[in-house]
Amino acid sequence: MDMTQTNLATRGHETAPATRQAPERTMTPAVDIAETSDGITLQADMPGVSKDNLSIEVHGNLLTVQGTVSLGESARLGDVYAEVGVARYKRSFELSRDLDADRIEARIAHGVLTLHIPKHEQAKPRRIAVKAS
Amino acid sequence: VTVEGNLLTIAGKRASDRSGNEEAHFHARERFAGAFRRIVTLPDGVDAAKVDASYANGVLRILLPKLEQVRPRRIEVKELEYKG
Repeated sequence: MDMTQTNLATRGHETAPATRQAPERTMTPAVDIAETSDGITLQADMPGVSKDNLSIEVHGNLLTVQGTVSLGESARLGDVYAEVGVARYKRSFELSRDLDADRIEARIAHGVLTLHIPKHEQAKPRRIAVKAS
Repeated sequence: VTVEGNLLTIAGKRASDRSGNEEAHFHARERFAGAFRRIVTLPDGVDAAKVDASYANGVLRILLPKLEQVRPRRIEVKELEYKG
């Protein structure tokens, strides 16, 4: 299996629409993408993002994950020094035809998003028993 | 999370959850795994006894209150009746 076979290329760093008013920073989350015979497991670091501030969309073969960082009370405090700040995470991935986007499972825990994207049944490797005649 | 003198130290580690599945083939491995440590020098006037740390959604929040004696105080101005 190689990269071209699954074609799960990242688009990363997409520019925010010009209509956006607040100068929010959009960050590209770091990801791990693992493929097994069942499908793809994608993990993305999105600290500060809760389940309610997360969106996962599939348009055609483009999977987009987005999350808004909500730091709660500390957002009201004046920053003396800030590296995190108020920001968004966004990253898009091109899905291979082998993957079944209708059966994506997602969960987020401790700011780590885990997506499991199963392969279509016909794309899974099958073992064919060879009968001796 | 420890405070020692004027040094705040945050240390931890994140276990790699890539293990176990031998047949997994990785297309990307960008996420950090392992131990980390960060030391921040605190300004004077932090009340080390009242430092509070909380962790939510993967974000650690540490509140370091100022010592009572360094907080600004409002001084009431009394009005005195002028007695000529």
